[in-house]
Amino acid sequence: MTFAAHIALFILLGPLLVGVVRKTKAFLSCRQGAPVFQPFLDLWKLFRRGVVRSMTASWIFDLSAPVVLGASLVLAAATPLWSREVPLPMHFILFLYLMALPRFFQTLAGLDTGSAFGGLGSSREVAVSAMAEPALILSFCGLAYLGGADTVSGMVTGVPPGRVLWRPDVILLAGTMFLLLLAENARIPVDDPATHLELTMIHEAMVLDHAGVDLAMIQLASGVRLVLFSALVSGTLFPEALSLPPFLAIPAAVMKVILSGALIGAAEAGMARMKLSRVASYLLIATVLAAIALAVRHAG
Amino acid sequence: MNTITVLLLLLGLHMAVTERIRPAIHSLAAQGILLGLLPFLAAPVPAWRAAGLGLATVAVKSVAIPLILTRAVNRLEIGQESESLLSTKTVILLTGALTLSAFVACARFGLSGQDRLGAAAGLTLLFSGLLMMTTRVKAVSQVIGFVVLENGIFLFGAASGSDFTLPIELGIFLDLFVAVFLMGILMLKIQRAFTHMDVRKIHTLKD
Repeated sequence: MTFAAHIALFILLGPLLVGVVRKTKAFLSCRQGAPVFQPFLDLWKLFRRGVVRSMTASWIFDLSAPVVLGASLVLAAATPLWSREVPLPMHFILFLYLMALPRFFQTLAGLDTGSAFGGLGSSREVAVSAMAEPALILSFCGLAYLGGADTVSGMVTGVPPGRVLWRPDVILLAGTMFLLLLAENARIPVDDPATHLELTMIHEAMVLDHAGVDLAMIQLASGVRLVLFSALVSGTLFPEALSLPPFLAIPAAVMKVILSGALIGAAEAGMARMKLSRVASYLLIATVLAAIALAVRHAG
Repeated sequence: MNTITVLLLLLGLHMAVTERIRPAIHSLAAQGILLGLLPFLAAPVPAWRAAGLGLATVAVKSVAIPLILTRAVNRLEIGQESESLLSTKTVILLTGALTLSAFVACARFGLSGQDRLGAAAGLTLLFSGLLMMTTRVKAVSQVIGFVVLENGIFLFGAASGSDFTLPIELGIFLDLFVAVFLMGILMLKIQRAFTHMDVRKIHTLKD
């Protein structure tokens, strides 16, 4: 039961978070913007449509969207969102590699259709994710050190509670995770989810050939991943919220997701997308921050 | 205290890494304000001394020096970039390595607890200031590096808990202020004489 509820919460909060991010961006740039629930309507529309696929695509293309969604849901089952217990405790190294699995299939599918865009997007996506890898591993190691556990749920909930502002190592790690959230989920300083220009697309170019149900699954999975990352960040900063009784914990989780959506939207509205060649510097800074967080933890 | 130390560290790293001069000057001013807070939080000193020291720090490091530097940037019309001899990526990696080595060194010294963090951060600022002074091309960024180095020494002193006497502190401020003031004037002179601020080209001077 809790398993189903946990997964359902992730599935419901994913599109909501995307909607909140879009609404915040629109609000900050003085536009009206689509309603917050627009992503749900989009998904509903896409799920009723058939799939158009390239003549040259193979079974890998058909497999990729379900694998992407499935792996994201398995990851979601290991992430604490509203309680300290998760349905599927998972070692963080396994977690990191499972995060790479959907990306692997998505890049393969991008190459599989034989269109130029797919290959372009795949190559950029792999470059970005390869550069994000050290920062990701270092920050998860830092979290494991901080929380004193090696499962993802254990290390997030094991972070000693206390006043956040007085804990520089926690802030640094959460900051690194936020930088990674933007990079890993194709958000603005690295990639723009709203653009469809060939010069600027990274993630979008890769999923361009997906349609209908496949596209819906991929969009749902990206929403779930966004919720997953923001749950990690907010869980690190405010571990107290995870030990509330259930009737308070679920509204608290929804509030956290809405707040992090507003934060992501504000960050995106305030920044310009950077040149592809500067993404390496951005991710290097994230790596160095994670290393400093570890050093500060060790010293302080 | 810990949070202020880490903020100082991050601002220092921002200055070491950023490619533009004005944000670096803003970070420098912010660092001055944070340093001004330190005497109030650190070792038990009389309130009037903490107040005097804090106010003097803020006045010199976050008002006077940034003003001189901003004026220099405006008067010299030297543009936004603080060109470096190394690429941004190399600088990021180097500052990361220097930070970690500072922390390792402080762990080896056997300092403990809060002092160790402050000392390590101070050492890091000292290193990154040195890096800025040696690898930056424009004189303004080199002056910023010098002030960062000075801030590192201040932080190290505050963390090591040794009791600075007020005259010594004031002497340091005066020293620093005069140094930056002179560099400001000197930069104007260089600009007037050579119409550029690239210190690489000064090496080619002959008499």
